[in-house]
Amino acid sequence: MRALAPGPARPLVQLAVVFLLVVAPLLLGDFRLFLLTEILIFGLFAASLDLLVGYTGLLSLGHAAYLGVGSYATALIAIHLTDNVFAGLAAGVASSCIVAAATGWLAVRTRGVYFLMLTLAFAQLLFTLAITWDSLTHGANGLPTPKPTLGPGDSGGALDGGTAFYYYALVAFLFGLGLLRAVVASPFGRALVGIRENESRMRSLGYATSRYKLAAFCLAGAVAGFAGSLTVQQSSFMSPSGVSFEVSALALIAVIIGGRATLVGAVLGSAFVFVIRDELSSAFNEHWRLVLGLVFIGVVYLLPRGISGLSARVGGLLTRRTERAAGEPA
Amino acid sequence: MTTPAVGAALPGFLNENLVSILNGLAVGMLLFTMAVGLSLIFGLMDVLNLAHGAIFLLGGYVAYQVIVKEGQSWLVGVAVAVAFGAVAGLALGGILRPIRHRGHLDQALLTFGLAFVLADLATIFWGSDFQSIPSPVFLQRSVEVLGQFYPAYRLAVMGVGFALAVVVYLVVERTQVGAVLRAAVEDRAMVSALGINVGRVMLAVLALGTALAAFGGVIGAPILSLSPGVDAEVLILALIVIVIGGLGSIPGAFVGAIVIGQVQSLGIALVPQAAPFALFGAMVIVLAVRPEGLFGSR
Amino acid sequence: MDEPETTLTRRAILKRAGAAAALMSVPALPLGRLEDVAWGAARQSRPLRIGQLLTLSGPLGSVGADLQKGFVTYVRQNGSRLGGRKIQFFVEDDAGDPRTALQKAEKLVSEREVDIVTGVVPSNVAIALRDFFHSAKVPLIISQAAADELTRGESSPYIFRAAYTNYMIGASMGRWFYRNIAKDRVFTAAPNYSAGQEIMAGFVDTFQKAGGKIGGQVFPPFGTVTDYQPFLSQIQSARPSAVFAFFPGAEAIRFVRQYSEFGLKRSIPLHGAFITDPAPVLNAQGSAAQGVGTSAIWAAELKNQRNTRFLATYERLYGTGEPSTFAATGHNAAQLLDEALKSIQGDTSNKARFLKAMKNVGTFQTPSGIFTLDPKTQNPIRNFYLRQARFENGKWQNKLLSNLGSFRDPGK
Repeated sequence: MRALAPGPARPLVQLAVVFLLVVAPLLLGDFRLFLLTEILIFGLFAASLDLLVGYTGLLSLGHAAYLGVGSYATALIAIHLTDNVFAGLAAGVASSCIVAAATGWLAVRTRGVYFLMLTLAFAQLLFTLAITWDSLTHGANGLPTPKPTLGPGDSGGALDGGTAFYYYALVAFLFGLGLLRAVVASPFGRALVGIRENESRMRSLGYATSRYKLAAFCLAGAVAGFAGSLTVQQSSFMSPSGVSFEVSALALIAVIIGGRATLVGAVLGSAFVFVIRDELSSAFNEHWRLVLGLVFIGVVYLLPRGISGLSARVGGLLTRRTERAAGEPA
Repeated sequence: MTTPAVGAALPGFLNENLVSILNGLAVGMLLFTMAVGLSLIFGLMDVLNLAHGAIFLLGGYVAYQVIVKEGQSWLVGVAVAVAFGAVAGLALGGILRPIRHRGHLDQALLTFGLAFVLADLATIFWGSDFQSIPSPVFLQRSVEVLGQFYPAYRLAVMGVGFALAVVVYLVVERTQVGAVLRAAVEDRAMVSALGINVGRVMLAVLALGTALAAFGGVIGAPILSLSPGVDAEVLILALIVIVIGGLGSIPGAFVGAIVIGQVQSLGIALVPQAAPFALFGAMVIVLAVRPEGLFGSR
Repeated sequence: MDEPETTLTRRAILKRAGAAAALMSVPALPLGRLEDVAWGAARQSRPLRIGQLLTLSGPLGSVGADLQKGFVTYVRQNGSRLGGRKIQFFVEDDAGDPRTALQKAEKLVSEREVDIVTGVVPSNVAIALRDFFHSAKVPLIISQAAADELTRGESSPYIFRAAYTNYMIGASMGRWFYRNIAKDRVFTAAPNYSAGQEIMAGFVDTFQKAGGKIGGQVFPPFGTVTDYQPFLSQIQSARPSAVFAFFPGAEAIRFVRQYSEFGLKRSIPLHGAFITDPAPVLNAQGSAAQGVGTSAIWAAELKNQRNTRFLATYERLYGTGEPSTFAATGHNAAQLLDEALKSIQGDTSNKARFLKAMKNVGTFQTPSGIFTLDPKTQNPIRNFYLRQARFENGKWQNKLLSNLGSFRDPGK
């Protein structure tokens, strides 16, 4: 990860990307901006999955559960209490964190395939609950929700229109991603990587690995819920298909294509998945999945560190060459 | 096994739920054909083959092509589909080979991508409409069991599944090949030190596992009908079976298949309100009590 | 800059669609023909831009394709025009997913600048789109999605329907069931989700009004049942006099086949809604479906001039193979739009006038019989027909049995 763009280039690249994101509304039409907003939100969701899959080595097939809990909580708050954005975000984060703690408590006791299946099971149970609990979720028909507002009550500035919401989502995205980066750079984050590499050694070193894994699980769930809140605030709609297996699977694909244990890779991967889907689905109908599947296989084969790993590799080659060039005269 | 005693004690219960119990066994045996291969492959190679459901579906489609489109007999359909499944397994072995040295996560991910691609290829060839293979003519009737009708075809599936379970069990527990296989699961290095080509054993198990999945696709087609989505549905059921039973364990796959079959039929018949949550609920309960499954060791 | 760019994109799409058609074994939509439609002789200043938001992939993919085929058939019958205006299509696939649909709707409205949108297959997609079209003030003609609430609490002056509500589907069978099948101890079976509940509510409503009594209802979970045996056993042990059922697609195949395999069909008559529809479902069921009656808004055998023309044009465009009822509702949607446009000479520049023309389009003849748009609910008042699954001329078909009468949604 450190090698993403080595040397002094890295902050420059970051600055350039942030600058481009800030001026994006000037460059893109309404629809493209809508798409970019979606990519940022889904990218944050995928990055939260990366904390589990990439850093902690826990392959989850049901991460959509926490996205969905966040979405439903935000939708319900907006319908029944207040359409204030911050109330919605708080409800989304709190509820998904609680659900992640309750399910994670069981899940982190298991490993490998058992963990994968338990996470899948929780997501499917929530999906079924969303369909059957009609009085709360409005069943398969879904919940249309009011547009969020910034001010208190219904009077405050509505976050309507693409540009205003885009900036809101961009700030939220940078905040979420920054939080995740701070976590993985902390001693806690390094302990997670240690668990991924060799859990029994970490345990013998005195780490309560289960507790670390549970904390990672809750944190990933909370950030997923945060992304879930944003999702529902953007589309003003939530239905069980937002908790479906497909959502979990697409996030996993995004993480792998983008590159594990990089966070930024998950965002890049999400952009890739969304662009493929959008550009190819008009022409190929469902066969965009075929393209995505082939790309996915290619990445697993050739780029175990994903797209961002590729850029690191290219960067590494360049620096090595310049070093060699610099070293030659001596 | 304990049926007579239970039957004597609870004749009313048995009478009322006989069809559900039978059906649980039939569904369970259908799942077993999928689960046993999945479990064996995992036990031996540490590979969770997420393309197993796609091979089930493709096996069904291949048989559909042979039986319905070409008008061949069921036997020919089964043979072609099983051969296809075995070839698919060998191909899978070849595809996995370059990344064998990497962790099992990468290999599982590769099969995940393959599942995506294979499922889509299936819709390109056979469309997204529902296709079905009619059961063999002599099984197209309902048999009366204790005054209730039960489809003969499902009884046949049950019988074939049981026979398969016995054969697999005998091969693994009582033959030379089985001994090598069990040894390879326990300690791969030791077996290759004995001069046995472990790679070839693995390839054989892969081919056997996927052939069984394709076979499951054929015998499952008249019950489930074939369409995109069935692959994932069946894969998830089979994964639940082997997780409940314990990964890599053949008796585990058998017991898990029967448990899931009964949860899906007897369980729902007794407590219909629990139907939406029965399947995953059962799995969560088992894993809460035994995190490694019923017969799991690791 | 805007105009040439969209044209280019559209051409690029058509080109790619050709490539996709070559890839697919499924008969592809004749998008090449849409080209003729779009480039027909010029009369009105600008072609009418029609967005088609359809489910073209996934389990409901064939429904979207059929809706579009029906729509295109009407347009072709009508000299490639609607209300005298040339038209231009922009087709988007929502894959049956509400969020994708919202994204595609945004694309159609803001990027393609369409005048009107038609299509929409699943109900949750329709409900998700409701607020979008309501606030974007773009008219939407729903040609399939049947959720009751879009005609009731969640109606919008911008949303019209060319098909029906779930209530109407169930309601069309109540009186007939009471008179011809059973008067009491009737069981209903449907998946436990909105459409299942709404169709059953419609059936129970008219069945009870006719004097019938319901013995019990089962609602198996939606989308997760591989085997209906436990539910069938539950029905069997209640010994009902008849069963009225609704299941979609793969679930219909399994339910109807297992109903026969477990011997219920020998003693308990089965009828319902959609359980033997469309053709691939019925083919997969085969003899298990023999004699099952279902209601539909159209049947191939209907004897009227418009139906004859519809069938002939459809065959010319898409070859043999009968249109599905979805093709018929797609056709209805195009005709509804055409009739409204004709009353304002194709002039959509004044949106309020256009909406008023839609609302008050009134009554007209369609291939599926007389069609009236109820100005109160913007939902059709139309005939339903009883069809029965039978083996005829070497294939399984849903054959017209009788006219069930005219039905409307109460709007509340």
